[in-house]
Amino acid sequence: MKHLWAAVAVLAIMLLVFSWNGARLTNLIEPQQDTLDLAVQAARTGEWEQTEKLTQQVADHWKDSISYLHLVQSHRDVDEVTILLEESLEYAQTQNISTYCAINARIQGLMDGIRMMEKFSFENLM
Amino acid sequence: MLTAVVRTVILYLVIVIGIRLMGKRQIGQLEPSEFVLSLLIADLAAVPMQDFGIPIIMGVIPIVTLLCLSTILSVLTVKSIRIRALLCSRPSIVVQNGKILSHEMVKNRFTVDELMEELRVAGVTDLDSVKYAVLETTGRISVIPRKEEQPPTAKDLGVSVEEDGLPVIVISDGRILTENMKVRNLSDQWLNQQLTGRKIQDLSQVFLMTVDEAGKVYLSVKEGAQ
Repeated sequence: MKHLWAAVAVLAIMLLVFSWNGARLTNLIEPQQDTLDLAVQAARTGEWEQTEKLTQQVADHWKDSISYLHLVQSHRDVDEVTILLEESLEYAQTQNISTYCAINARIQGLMDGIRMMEKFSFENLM
Repeated sequence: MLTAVVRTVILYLVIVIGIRLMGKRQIGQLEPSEFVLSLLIADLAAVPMQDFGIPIIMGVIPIVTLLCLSTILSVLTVKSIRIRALLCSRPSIVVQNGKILSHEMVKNRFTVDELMEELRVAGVTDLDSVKYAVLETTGRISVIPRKEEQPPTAKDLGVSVEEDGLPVIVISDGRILTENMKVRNLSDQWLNQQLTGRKIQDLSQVFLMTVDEAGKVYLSVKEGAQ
């Protein structure tokens, strides 16, 4: 019976840890997405200094979390977001509105994908 | 490349520990659930081993989950006869008193050719000599010959024989196993006497030395040592 309870405990701990991980990912990514939304709004109103500052903020935050993200997520998706954030920063500096918005949309899509991947949902189960 | 080596080492250790937790069975003796588990573990480990884009934890977590489920099921199969029958099925008698029970053969999708092959492996060529042939849950056939076909035992012949008991290794490749010496209550003095009696000056000359419960000694000297 000792083995049975040990196995049940390990499964329960894993469920708890990964539920926490899902919540942590959401808390990590959602504010970044909100900041990127603000950056796009600023770009549309021509406030490029603010756009650059907000994009840089997201890129820095993303880089700070990269070890954790590599530990729990597909490296390809995480690396792609990193590269796209660098590109986005370049377009913010050159004040290219259409490309900046297009790249931001791709970043938002990838971030959504990463966030949704850890969500316990019917779609993910299937 | 260094990543590949380290990842392979980690996953290999996880699998070795996992297989060790499964017990000491060989592939041919695995229950269906254990066989499925072995296949899944091998497959799960192979993917993150080759693809560095997948976090190693994605390979380790499903393996740990499978091992936990396997442990839970193995404990439940020990505790409950119903679960055991459901997961491991039950042994089926396919030959009784020399007669093939065709309904059991059909139920287990076991062909006559397979049955004959298994009987030949067991050294049986005449079906009439078989009292029972049992298809075990591992897929192997246990053959029980009729009493008159079985070789006589010492008990049948009324002969008294001494039990040798289990031999334990006392010296392995020149090293004394002190724990085993204690098991047989042997002293260093006794060991020295045994070695001098066999004209062995150095322990390193001994490849294997065993002592059974009756005190019978088997000693094998290394090639070219004497």
